[in-house]
Amino acid sequence: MEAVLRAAAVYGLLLVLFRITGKRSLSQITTFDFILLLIISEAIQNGMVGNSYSVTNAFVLVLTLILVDQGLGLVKRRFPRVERWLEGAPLILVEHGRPLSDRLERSGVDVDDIVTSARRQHGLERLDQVKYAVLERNGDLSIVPRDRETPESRDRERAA
Amino acid sequence: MEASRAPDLQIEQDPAFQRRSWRVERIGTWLFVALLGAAVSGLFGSGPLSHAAATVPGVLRVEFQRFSQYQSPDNLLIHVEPGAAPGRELRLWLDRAYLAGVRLEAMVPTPIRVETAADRLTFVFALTEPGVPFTVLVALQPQHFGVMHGRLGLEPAGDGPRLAFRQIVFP
Repeated sequence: MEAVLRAAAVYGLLLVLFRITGKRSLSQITTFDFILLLIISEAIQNGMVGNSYSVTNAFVLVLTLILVDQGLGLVKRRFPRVERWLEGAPLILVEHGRPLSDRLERSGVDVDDIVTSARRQHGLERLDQVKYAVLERNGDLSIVPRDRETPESRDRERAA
Repeated sequence: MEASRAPDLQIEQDPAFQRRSWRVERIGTWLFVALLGAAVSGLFGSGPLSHAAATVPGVLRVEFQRFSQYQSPDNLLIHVEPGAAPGRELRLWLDRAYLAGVRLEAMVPTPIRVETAADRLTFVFALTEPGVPFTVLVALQPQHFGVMHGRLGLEPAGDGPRLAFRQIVFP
């Protein structure tokens, strides 16, 4: 029972911590973020495992973590309001090449991050080639490029 | 699930296999939920199902965990009733076979001396106030897994009050 309580408590504490410090706090963008993730797991380990060297204990811990996660996923699917509180909502940061500076500042993303993602995802060269940049719920930046010249887009433009 | 709806995609789907694996997932998840319930109730150590006691009425009582874990902290709580130790010394013994299977971490209160015999260790405690209830906490860690049999009792006399208990130690 003790192991189950420990694992559930650690899960809850980390969930609250990372939810409050922002979704980009650990999205593995730099090498150091990755190192930070490793250090955090080291730091939390003793609190969860305690003095035990038992395989059974380790199994119960992992079982608890996974089932709590699955259970929470079930709750999220059933109650969208809970999902919004736990995972936030996506946010548009760049609209038609124009950065929305207030949103950028509050979510801790700068234009550099956006052009990096634009280069990596679509090979774009400049910010004005970005139609939308969206901060997703998992902390990723997704980039929608401006329409290239295609027959469909030409039709659409003509219609507009 | 229908057969492939994407004829231009190079992909090998297997709907029948997918259905089977979903079923396994569903059953498996419920099985794991049941295991979690067992863990909460103490089937793998610490919890209401695990907590147990053996008693010689009016004399001796030991509280122990039915289910314990390999190299994990565990306690025995031994209560001696007031009438059972009339003198200035209390002599409590534990059998050696049990002690061989655990690492003794601490004993509170600390005995004033330990006497050895072929089959048992006798822990002698000083009583400043005879005739009051006496409790010993034995902190230990199992060093083997499987079934452990423990015996303990009070001296004097080889036929003094004694208790036996059994613990299952998970790996």
